[in-house]
Amino acid sequence: MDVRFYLSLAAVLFVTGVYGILTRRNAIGIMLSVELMANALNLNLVAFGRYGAGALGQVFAMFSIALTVTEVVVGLGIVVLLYRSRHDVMVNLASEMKR
Amino acid sequence: MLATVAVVVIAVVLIATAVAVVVSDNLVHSVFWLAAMLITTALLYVMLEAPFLAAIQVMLYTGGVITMMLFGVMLTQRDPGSRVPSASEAPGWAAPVALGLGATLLVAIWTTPELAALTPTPSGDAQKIGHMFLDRYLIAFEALSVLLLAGMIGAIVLARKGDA
Amino acid sequence: MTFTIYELAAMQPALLVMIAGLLAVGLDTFVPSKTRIAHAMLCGGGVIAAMAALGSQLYYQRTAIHAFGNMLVLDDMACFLSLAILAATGLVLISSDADTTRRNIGFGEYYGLIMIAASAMMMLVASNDFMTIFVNLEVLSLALYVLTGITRKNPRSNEASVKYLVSGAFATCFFLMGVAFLYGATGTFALSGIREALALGLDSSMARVGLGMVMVGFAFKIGAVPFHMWVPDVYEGAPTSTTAFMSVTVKAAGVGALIRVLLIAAPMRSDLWADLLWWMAVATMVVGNLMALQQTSVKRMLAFSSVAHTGYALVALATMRSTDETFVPEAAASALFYLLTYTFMTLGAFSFLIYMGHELPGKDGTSEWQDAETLSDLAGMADRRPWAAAMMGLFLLSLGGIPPTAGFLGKFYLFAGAIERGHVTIAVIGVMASLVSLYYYLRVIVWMYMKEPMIADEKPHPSVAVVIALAGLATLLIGVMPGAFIAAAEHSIAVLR
Repeated sequence: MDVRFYLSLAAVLFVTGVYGILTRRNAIGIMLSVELMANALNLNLVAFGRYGAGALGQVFAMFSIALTVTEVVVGLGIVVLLYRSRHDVMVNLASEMKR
Repeated sequence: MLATVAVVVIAVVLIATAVAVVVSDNLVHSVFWLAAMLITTALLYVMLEAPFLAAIQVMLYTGGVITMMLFGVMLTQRDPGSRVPSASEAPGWAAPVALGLGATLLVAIWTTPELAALTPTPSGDAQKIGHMFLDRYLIAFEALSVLLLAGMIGAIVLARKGDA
Repeated sequence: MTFTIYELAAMQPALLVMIAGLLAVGLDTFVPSKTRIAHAMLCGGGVIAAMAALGSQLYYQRTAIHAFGNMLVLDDMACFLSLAILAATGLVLISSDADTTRRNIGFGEYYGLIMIAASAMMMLVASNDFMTIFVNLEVLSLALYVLTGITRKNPRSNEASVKYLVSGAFATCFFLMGVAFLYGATGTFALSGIREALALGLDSSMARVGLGMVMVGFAFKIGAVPFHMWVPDVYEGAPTSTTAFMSVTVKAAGVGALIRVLLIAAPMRSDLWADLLWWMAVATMVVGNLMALQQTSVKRMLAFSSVAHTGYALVALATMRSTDETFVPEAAASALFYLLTYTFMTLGAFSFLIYMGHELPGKDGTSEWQDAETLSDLAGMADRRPWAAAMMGLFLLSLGGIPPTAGFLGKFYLFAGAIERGHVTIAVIGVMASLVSLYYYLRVIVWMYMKEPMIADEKPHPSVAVVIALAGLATLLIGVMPGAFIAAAEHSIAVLR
């Protein structure tokens, strides 16, 4: 199996995540899409590690997993606080003008 | 041959579950689709001879993240089963931007001839990975522990009772 | 691979800052929560000790320390930027006295998170490998997400925090995808390894796209157009002392890391990144200034102005390749110098907003603190607070680039260098943009000096006055005698090889 197959698969997953982030308004929905992107890049790293570059790719993938988990912990804390004060968790990432 | 078929099947399932995460109208369903996708990815890691990472993926991601995400959904929806339309106010440029990015990535991958020459090599077991963590990449590993510490302090600051 | 104790010296300054921060978190257990003098002394001591360590590195050690398999390198550029970051951190520590007491924020965790973020930034500007760059970038982002949302019952602060976290995580994924591509193309995460691979003639579209995505990730973190969408809302929603902290330090750390990536990993392939940076710099200057023009909230105006200033700093990086195709890495020195001037004037301007805070009667008899935000909050303040208003005037003139302030010299050095290397168009756009910016900076001065006061109950906090005075002093000092600072910036880049 060619490494490019895995890379293309990862690219498709990554783009699916990007699309999710651009279309979702619910903060948790956006975080789910971020997980997709993170998973895609881990797949990339592991595939490169398998095809040539050795264990280094896996090491970096573990770093990125640890990071994503930490981000989810802090992120959910913040989202729950937002819900407590505003009773919804909608965010609009592209608001240019306010007031 | 069998391995090839298996990988293709896994890839199809992976893409299908990923799309389901993004377009599902129900966040709880989305979380479960994500769990399915993460486990499928772990299978792919096994195929790529990274069994240790596959185990980490199942334990940390599917065990930890999915549970937390479910808590998150339950705590922030009045009715956790309610519909959360995914594309209600979606900007019109979302799909073109995503497609453009995907095309860029795919073109980059398929116009790099060096990649075709790469062949699978033994990529390292848990022992080798552990050695890398505690030897060559010690400082990054230590910095990662600071990351976890910062995350922990942050989560406690946000979650504790009291003013402010 | 064995490490010697000597290599720890490379991270000693950052380590001192982090230890002070962690002790401050632990101090909450022993010290009654109403006094904060112990926390402040501890963190201040950490900052001063780290500055002393950096000073001794610069004056006695002199040669760069490459540590831990070249993953960290404490060279002159790292020292220069670390000192700027520490100066900003010290000032924020003093001024956050106001915010923590007014809003009842726990000092232990507040100071602790500030110090952790500062230490991660110092490690970031010393990072020589994508692995350390990535981890430190994330430590500082994580600390800032929490600091943004630290006023936990304020919906604006919550929303800003969620927005920052989500766009930050998105940016991280882009950055890491780029790093993964570069790894695939070169087989290494080390900046010097990537440089070797590129020197051997590697020119795959994979490496190009990888480098592009890494730059997009950086652009997100420093808030360059078109990846600046989060900046105004986050800067506006965060408590003002957090805004002051992140608006200056993240730019110093992020642009510093970007300079190192470009100059260590891809100096001979400036064709891959110079054009991208050129467009980014132009768009950032133009959009930042045009959006700032339309704001009525001074805090939001300053947020857009900080976007615009990112654009000015990027001009230096975009014009490193002169029009006759020679590569002039020394050009990056003007970005470093600009970041230094930007640190003090922006910190001062945000501190003035904290200084002019007033109490709003809230529900059920309690009162809530509100920092000065709109033009009407500042109206007529020149009569009642002449010194502070004069200082604010100084910061605004400096931001607008009027002599004899630091901001003027920063811009002059930047644009003169760009013209010298043949990039006239971008320099003209930059000068035009800063002329436009004068309109909205002067508008604030006009309101302060020519309108009747609309608010009578502002309660200035003495510690913030100290910060304003120090920042004003630094802005004037750099403006009047820039020689030493410019020389330091040039030396920092010259040894970066």
